Amino acid sequence: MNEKLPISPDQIDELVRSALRADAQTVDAASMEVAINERRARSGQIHKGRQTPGIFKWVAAAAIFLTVTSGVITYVVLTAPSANAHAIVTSAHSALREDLDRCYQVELVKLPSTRSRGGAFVQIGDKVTLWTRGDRFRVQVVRSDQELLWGQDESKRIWGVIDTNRGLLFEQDEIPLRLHEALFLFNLDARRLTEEVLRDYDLVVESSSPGRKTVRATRKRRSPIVMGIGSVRMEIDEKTNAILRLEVSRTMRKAEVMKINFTLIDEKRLDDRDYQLAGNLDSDAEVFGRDQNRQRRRLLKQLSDD
Amino acid sequence: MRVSRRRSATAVVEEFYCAAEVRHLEAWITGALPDAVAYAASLMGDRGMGEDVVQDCMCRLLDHADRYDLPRDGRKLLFRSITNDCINRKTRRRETVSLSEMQFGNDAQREVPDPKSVRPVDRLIAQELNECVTAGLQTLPINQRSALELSSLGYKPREIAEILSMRPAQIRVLLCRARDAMATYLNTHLAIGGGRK
Repeated sequence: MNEKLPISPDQIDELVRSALRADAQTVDAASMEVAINERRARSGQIHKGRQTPGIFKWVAAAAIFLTVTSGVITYVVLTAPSANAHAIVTSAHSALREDLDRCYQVELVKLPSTRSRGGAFVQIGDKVTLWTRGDRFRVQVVRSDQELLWGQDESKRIWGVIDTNRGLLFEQDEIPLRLHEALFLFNLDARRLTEEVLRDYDLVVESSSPGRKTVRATRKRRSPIVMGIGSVRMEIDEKTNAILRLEVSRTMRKAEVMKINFTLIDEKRLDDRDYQLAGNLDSDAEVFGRDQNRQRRRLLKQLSDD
Repeated sequence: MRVSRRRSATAVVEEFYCAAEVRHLEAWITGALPDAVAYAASLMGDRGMGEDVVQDCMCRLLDHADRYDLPRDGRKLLFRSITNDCINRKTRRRETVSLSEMQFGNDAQREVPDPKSVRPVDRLIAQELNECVTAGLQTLPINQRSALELSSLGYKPREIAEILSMRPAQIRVLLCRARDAMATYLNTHLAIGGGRK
């Protein structure tokens, strides 16, 4: 006969605490932070930090007053290269036509300081082609002999193609963690990026190769959570002001985790349907959405494990 | 080449202030997420859904970060938001998902142990106990479960009452019933010391 362990109600809190603690230890907080920040960045909330309290504004005002006389000369001398860089990026931003889709060849570069090799949906060594139009994008990942196609449509829904007969569709509020990691890497809307660079980055002109102007942008420490894009290096065509190459460093906890190079290979108008799941499946294909959550999760796992 | 930076005094002060605040906020998020996920996963009975809930709640909280002192009050606000969200989701969607199907995510402690692997006995017992406690929690009504879990996380009945929008007396009743039910469940399902005559 088994002797039952006599557990009294007084011991329950401790047992529950242990169980919760064991579960908490398996939580990947860093990935969740990435997902949360990615999601907030996508909804445009990332820049809404706390307002500077009044006392700091008074301190700032006093500092401005004290430095105003000497500052004028310093300002004129020191801001000339920065203003030049600003003008270059502004021209590049203006040259980005909204009605054109841009295709980039994407290269993930491993940093010696990190173990990160990317996520399940894209890894170092993959051959990646990215088409973008505003928030929409379409990513084709070729890994050895396998091809993975996924993207984001005009409603910011994320889709993935299992095969021509089956596809996965995620609404914006239900994107799973592992997809967020890949979104974090590919969130490249060049117009938005240049806007952010002009607003939130310190710009410096670097020595350039003939026919190209190069600007390095380093993030100011202003956003409430320092995460996302750490620095950007842009190579801009001198004549057309087109951004030919972007080197983006992705940061997490103020440390670089991945460097991603985007090289412009094409600019043309794609069909709207290319950015939609339906446009990449057969007409009678099955789409797994919110209503088939269990199957969808299983297929997503299968897709990312392949 | 000379590197220049256009920084006003206002920017310098703001940067200093924001950098300190960012570090503080980051530390708070990092510290709060694991407990929050474990709590939400337990309320939802599913890790994936728990993570979704925590993401939603954390995003909402950070969107209104200017209204609150998050490092001070954020944990309570987060748990309150998680509780409400979980209750809403549970009452809105009655469907349940078996734990065995939810392999998505990092559910290491829920894996079926490999009988060939050599592991310390204590760890095995603790794991079995945790699994049994987790299963027992799933048998409780969600109000009892959340009250018990919040209590085990160190909240006092008064604070739990605030989080669950109830009276402290009601919380004490919930806690009492939850502890009794859990003790009964564990005494029924645990047979540690089996084999002893």
